[in-house]
Amino acid sequence: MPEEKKIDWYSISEKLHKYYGGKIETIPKVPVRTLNDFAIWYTPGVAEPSMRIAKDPELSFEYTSRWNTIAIVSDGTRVLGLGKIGPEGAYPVMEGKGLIFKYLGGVDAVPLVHRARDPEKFLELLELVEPSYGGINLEDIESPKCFYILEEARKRLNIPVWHDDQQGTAAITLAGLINALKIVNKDIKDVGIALVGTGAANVALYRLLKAYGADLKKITAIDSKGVLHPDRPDIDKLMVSNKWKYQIAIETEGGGKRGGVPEAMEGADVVIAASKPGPGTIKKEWVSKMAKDAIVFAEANPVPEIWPWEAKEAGARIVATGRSDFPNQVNNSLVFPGVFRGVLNVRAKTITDEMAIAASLEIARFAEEKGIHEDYIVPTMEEWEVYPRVATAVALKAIEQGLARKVMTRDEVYQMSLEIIKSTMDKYKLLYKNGLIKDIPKEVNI
Amino acid sequence: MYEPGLTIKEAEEKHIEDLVNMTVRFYRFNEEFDPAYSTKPEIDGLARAYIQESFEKEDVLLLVACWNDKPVGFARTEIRRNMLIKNEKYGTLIELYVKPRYRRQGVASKLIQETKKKLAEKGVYHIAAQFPAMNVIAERFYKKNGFRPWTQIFIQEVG
Repeated sequence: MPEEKKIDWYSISEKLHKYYGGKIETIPKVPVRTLNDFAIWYTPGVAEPSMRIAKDPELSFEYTSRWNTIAIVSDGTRVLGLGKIGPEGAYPVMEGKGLIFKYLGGVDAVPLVHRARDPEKFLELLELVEPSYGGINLEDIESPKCFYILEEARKRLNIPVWHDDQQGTAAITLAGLINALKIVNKDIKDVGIALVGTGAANVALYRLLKAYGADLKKITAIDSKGVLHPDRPDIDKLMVSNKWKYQIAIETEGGGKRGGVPEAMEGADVVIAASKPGPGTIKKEWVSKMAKDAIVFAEANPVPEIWPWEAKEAGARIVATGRSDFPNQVNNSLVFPGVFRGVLNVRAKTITDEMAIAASLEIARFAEEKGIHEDYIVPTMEEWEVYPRVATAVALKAIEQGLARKVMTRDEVYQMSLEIIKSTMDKYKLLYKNGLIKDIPKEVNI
Repeated sequence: MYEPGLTIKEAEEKHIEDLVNMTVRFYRFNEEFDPAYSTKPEIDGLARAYIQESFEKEDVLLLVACWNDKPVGFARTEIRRNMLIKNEKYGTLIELYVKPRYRRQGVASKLIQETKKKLAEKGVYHIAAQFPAMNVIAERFYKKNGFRPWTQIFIQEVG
């Protein structure tokens, strides 16, 4: 039975964050041959692009870095599994996300943590800062507030808004599910699905499943009070307090099931848990009562709802978790860099659920081409070729839906994505190789 | 007689079980908005008496919405009077409830339409609706159905 790795990531991380003073910085990308060149990049020359943009604000995407810059926005109300740790506490997480955005997607992403906990204030803030950015990545916001903010922000802003804890997690889960179903030879329309936990990830996944063609009457969603169904005593309250869960209850009618997680899992083909860290949140005997060739996604971090080996012992055929040290890591990082690379390339106005599904399908296809099996249903982060592919799929869907300001061919988007992602990696490697990015100090033993 | 589809009719004794169930749900929901709406623990039994009484009262209108003959919603309206006002009789919707899976299909609006019709037959000129001040969904619903804010009721604890 595998033991938890003994590396103390917490202590190492603390030391290195202090050593480097954060993780990202801005570096110029234009030549400064002599200081006279500032007359081009700054006054007086800069007045000309400014004047042109003033007449036509859309030109800000041509003359400034806006086209490739997004904000990673959080109020710090639900950071990782840590809860309400405040905006300053959220900053390292946002900065880490910025690092991944740049490294894997070539996207310039800057943290924007703030104190606007009230959803209306939060939305006002997004509207106020919209001119600075080409997109917004929402992060670590408590549920159900996050649903409202995403929904409204998508309506009010003319740049893409994405909430990674919803769409990112949902999209990679769907990608994994698509391939898992191929392996067990079942169709999405026929499978019974239990969604354990109805927070950001599973509510968004439900939306994607619906758009992807799952039979809603075969979906059973479970929250802390049990199966969501229209006859639950608190159903009217849900209509007011969480209309997203209410809608799931009405549309699925509990998938014909009542009770809690064990009842929901009985006979189900798929269980997708995005709930409380385990072990033991999902029990072996519940898995053993699932249908043949059961698919188990246990996505809680740091400890999955059920250990993969336990799920397998209980009869699960395919198991996925959120962890990199087990096979089949359901990892948002496979999604968001490519999604934003795609929408920024074609200057999409929004990111629709169909675009998220396009990302899922492309990730699934990528893994399938490499050869899927029980322990490989999604690519790993090292397979960086997946990012330009995702970018292309998302961009083409945006064009197809009439949401792209720039129309490009498949090859053009792909080449542009590839070039940006590759050149970012090359630049980074150059800095690192030349010691301009200092190596990890020897006293930190990693 | 079995009536297919949606029908709105005056409630009958055979609807009592469903009416009691829906009344309890209605009050449990209102409880969410203000402690002054807190229900008694024995609400189930009391709701039965409450509905029973409504059958007997002249100034109460109890309509039920049935889908394929099965009750899916109801509206209970009390007719009140103020002899100083020109149109002295007005009906007030005290309870209006539609079961969750039958919502968003116009059932509540149809209940209101039918209530208005019955009130008019009784010589009533106005229809009012009462609901918790914090219930924004109800507020939106009534505005959409042509109601306007009319009277406000404020509350506080006496002691």
